[in-house]
Amino acid sequence: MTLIRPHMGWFFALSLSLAIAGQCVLLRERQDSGIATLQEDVISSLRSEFKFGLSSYLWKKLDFYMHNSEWEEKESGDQIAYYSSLVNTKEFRPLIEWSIAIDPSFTEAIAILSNTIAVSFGEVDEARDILRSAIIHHPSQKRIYRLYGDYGLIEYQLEKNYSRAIRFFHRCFETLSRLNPREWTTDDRFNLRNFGLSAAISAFKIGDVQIAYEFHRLSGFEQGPEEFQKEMDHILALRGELKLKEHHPLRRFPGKSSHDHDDHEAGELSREKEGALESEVLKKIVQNRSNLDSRLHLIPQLNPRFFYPVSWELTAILFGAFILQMGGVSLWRMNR
Amino acid sequence: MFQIARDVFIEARRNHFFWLSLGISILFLFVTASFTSTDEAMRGKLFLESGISILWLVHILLAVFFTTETLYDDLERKSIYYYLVREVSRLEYLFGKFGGIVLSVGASLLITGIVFTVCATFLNGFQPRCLVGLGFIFLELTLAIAVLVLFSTIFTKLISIFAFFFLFFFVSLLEHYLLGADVGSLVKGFLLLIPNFKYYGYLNMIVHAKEFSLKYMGFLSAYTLVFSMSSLLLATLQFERKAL
Repeated sequence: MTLIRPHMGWFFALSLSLAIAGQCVLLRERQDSGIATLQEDVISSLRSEFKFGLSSYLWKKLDFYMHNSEWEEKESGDQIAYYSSLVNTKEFRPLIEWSIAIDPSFTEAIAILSNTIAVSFGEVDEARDILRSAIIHHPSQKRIYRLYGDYGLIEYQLEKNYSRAIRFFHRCFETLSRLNPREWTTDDRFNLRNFGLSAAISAFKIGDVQIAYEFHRLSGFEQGPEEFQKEMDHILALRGELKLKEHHPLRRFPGKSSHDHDDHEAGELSREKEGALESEVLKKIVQNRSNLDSRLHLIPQLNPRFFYPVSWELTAILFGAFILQMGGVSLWRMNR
Repeated sequence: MFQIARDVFIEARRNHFFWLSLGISILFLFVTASFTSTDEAMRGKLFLESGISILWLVHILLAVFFTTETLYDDLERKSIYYYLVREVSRLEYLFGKFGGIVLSVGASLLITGIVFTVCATFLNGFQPRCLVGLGFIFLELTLAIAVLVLFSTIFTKLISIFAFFFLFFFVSLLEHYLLGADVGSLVKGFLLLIPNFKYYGYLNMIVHAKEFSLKYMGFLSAYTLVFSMSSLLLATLQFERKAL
């Protein structure tokens, strides 16, 4: 077979030109967004682009696999809701580990991997090793605060080593200065509130109320346990910082999440809004499950990817049309 | 008609691209199987997805290039007259060619499908969804070949390939954008008349599906038959008018 012929040269030239042009546009976009810098040479830019793309692809795959994993049942009023989680996703570790191996500066993936294996799988030492390694080998990460924060969470939640936890939370808020508050995403806000509150409670547990209040303030005055909250409110009133509480940057809610995980959007909302959203999500999940029960996991009848509902009626019409076509062909052949 | 199909099949056996695609599929399947066998968590869905994707990609490319090569080479080498002077109608010629190409690509899919199923069984036990996945690919290839036969009667070789890939991606994309919009039944009807390859999406329907839907398989088979036949009939109408 002669697949490649001289007259096809223009086709390959055109394809190559389009590929180069597309890559240039992508690079320009990335440079404009500050992800790729002009100091980098083209080859290293392309390499980092490729690594970034492949790593993100695996990350997206993980999300898809998670939402299609075994679902957990949870009663919600008179209905049963179904949740998907990373713990039940069999492919979680290989996918995320490959994603990190390809792009070791993927902070978010590292944080989620360490947090999940520590909290859900109980492998605290391994989680610590992952975080420590990521901090040591990639100290220039913009969102390195997240790794310190997650380290602190492990110490606070699992090891109950509050003084050690405070050290990591302290470093977490120190390194936060690398990030302009205008660049804070939904996830950043959620994490900062979480880290701040955890640090404040840690400090409160070891009896350092003033440090606890400082972290409480950094968390955007996030609500904590009753006893803790009473003390914090008392200091707040004494210092006269009620206005600061109302206008704290972490209490302002921008619209968009840093990534398109619909299920994680509740992270940035206030508790009331969280409740309302949760019931919406629950409704959606319950509805999905009732659809699932009917036949298939992703139901053609209701899947928005299907413009026309798939039904036996439509199948019968199509088969009827095929028989007519066959009849037409037979008649045509007979007439000839 | 059957002789034409047989000739195409014999021709395929001499085709380097045919053997190359077969070799690539098997090689990649073995590489993927070896790689996924290293981790228990990768042996299930990840191997299934990778394996079906390899088979799909290689065979869709094989279908495109083999169909265009077969049909245009007949015109270029004038071997089309060998059949047409022997009281073979143009309809029979096109249907014969179509049958032969489907048979050849199907044979390749069968061989690689056996390798894939053996690997999947070795990794994670026998899974009927492997066979359903192969069925999905076969139906998609059948429709793709029919559409390519239609395009080959209208356009030149390169434009046929471009037109096919345009249709392959564009219809789903157009539909995706129209989903949210309030479009009339005329637009909906128009979209229904164009072959749409999104129905063969194996990720949702095979890899991650919790259950198999007989209704969906029935629909998909009927859809493939009707649209393949329509494409071939349109191709015949166009071919009848063509001066050779």
